[in-house]
Amino acid sequence: MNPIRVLLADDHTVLRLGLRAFLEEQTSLAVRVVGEASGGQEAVALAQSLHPDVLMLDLSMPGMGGLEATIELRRLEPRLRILILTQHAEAIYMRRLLEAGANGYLLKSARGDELLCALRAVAEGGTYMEPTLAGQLMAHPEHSGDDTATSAEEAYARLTQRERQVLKLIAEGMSNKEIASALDVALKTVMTHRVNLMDKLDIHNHARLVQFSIKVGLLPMA
Amino acid sequence: MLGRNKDPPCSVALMPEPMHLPLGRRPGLRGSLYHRALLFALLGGGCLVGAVLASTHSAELFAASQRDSTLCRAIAERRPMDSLCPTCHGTTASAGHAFAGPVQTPLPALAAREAKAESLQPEIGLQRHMATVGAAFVPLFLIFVGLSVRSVVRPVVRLTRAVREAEATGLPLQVPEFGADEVGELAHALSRWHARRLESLAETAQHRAALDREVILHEQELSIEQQRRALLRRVLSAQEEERRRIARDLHDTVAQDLAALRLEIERLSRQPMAPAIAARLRTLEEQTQAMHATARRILLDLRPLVLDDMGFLPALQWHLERVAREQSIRGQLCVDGDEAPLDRETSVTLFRIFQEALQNVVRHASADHVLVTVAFGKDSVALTVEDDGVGFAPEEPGSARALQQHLGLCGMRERAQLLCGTLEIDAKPGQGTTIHVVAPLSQDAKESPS
Repeated sequence: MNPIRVLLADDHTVLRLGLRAFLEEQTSLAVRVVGEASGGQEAVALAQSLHPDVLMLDLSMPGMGGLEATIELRRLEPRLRILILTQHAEAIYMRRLLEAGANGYLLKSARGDELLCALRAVAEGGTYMEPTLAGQLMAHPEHSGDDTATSAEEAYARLTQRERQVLKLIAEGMSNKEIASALDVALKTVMTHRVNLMDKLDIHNHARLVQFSIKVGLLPMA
Repeated sequence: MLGRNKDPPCSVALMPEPMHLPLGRRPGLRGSLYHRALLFALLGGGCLVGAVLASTHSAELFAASQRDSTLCRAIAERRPMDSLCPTCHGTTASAGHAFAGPVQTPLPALAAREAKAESLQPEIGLQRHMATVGAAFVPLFLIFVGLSVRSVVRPVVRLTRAVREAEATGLPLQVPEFGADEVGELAHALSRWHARRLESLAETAQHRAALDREVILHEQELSIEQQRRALLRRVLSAQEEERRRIARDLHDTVAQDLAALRLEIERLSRQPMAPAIAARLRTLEEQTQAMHATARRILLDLRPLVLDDMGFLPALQWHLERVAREQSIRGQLCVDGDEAPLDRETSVTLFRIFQEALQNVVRHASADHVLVTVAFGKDSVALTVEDDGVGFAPEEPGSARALQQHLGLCGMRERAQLLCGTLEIDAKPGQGTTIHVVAPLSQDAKESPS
């Protein structure tokens, strides 16, 4: 089996050297580091000349950062596999990078075996997501609700009677306090219904709530 | 005039021609001007007796006259008569004498009219006299008028000049001495008026000066306030910049070093070694891991790099999720309107207000839910943080928590004001708390990731 040809791109020299030593010394996966870059620009140039299998890319680098380099390389080297290796432990970064075309997202705080696992997955054509961040990403899928008529009906069917009442009042423009006094319930109850129904419908925008209410017939056509 | 007199009860038929009868004058006293004879018909013992009461000829006075008979006839026939006394007038008189007869009364009075030239002689004479006197008088009169006018106009002209000068120079009115006449009075009145006017002008000027001083003071205060704001803005922006730099440094150096260190320890621990050393290495790795986590927490608290790298809304979402996770609150972010780019100051300031608001919720509200709404308008962005906690329950005054709460609210308000925005807090006990910030969108706003 051919070793995985890896290009390392990180401005932090100590880390880069440690990473290189680690990858070359370990025995569980055949890896060959073919080059090192200390910035985004250099990474793009080396990726084009060395044609590595995987680029292990840091995000925060002086000059061109990891995100720009990913976008650039996705255009120039469509077959290149990109594994992001970063300190940014926020799901939003991972989402952004995966959207930009990265194949894997790994934190620098990861253990060595996790690193190898990610490298293998990416090299074999899969996608690797940092497990803790993947959980957050799943909890808040950004654009999941393409409201076709059926999905709107389905989503509406999942709402309780009370949630539908609250939705109608929200769509009519009432504030939470007004809804609480209109339904004669506690503010906490209204907020619970509100958060629940918005999560169920995956709509986090007032205008879209109104649209949805019209679509399912809660509100008359404007 | 004769016939209209009711008292004495006598009526006299009017004569065909108007009579020149100055009956009101006392006959005889000014006889020299009187050529007219006045005849009284007296009724005594059934017969009429006439007498001349006034005449230019003193001899005629009270003398018997042929008029008597004419008078008798006039009375008897009750009609005006015209006759001439030939004794006195001869026969040359052109106009006859008219007698009017009393009709029924016992005390008739009669007037006689005499020849025109004769009777008008004094008037004609007077006319001539007047013409002569008038001819002499008119130039005198003109001179007099001229002098009078001059005596009035000249002082007025002088006065006018003095007034003009006073107006032009603003000095008190120097009144020429005119004496005690009307112009003099006018001059003094003007002078008094002008003095009062100068006084009131001076007073007005004083008021104005006082007002000006107040305005200047106010402006100074304003500018002090502006300076305070500018200073605060500089301090805050310097603080933000420093935090950002430190966070970035921590991220780029210490955190990376620790990551490298951990990797190195892991690499070492793969070598064959004594179990005791392997255990020590494991502990070392765990410690390094913990240090790495600490460094990250510090840098995130200093400044969330998401804000610089990804922008306002992702940072808001990230922070809300982080706090919600740590505090077991359910948070939700709603975005309304068309997302517009925020300049760095606006996004950092709004983010800091959001952080403070969220911290208040965590500290004071005991809320279950936080609803965060960002509404983009045409030229403003509104951030609303609404919780379902206990509402605004002010901490006990003077307590450390009250001070903290107060400072927190003040801080949010100050930051909103730095953006030329507004901050409203709606909180009633048991009704949750809503914090509403509106900030203008700057026209050339560009989200500028570092």
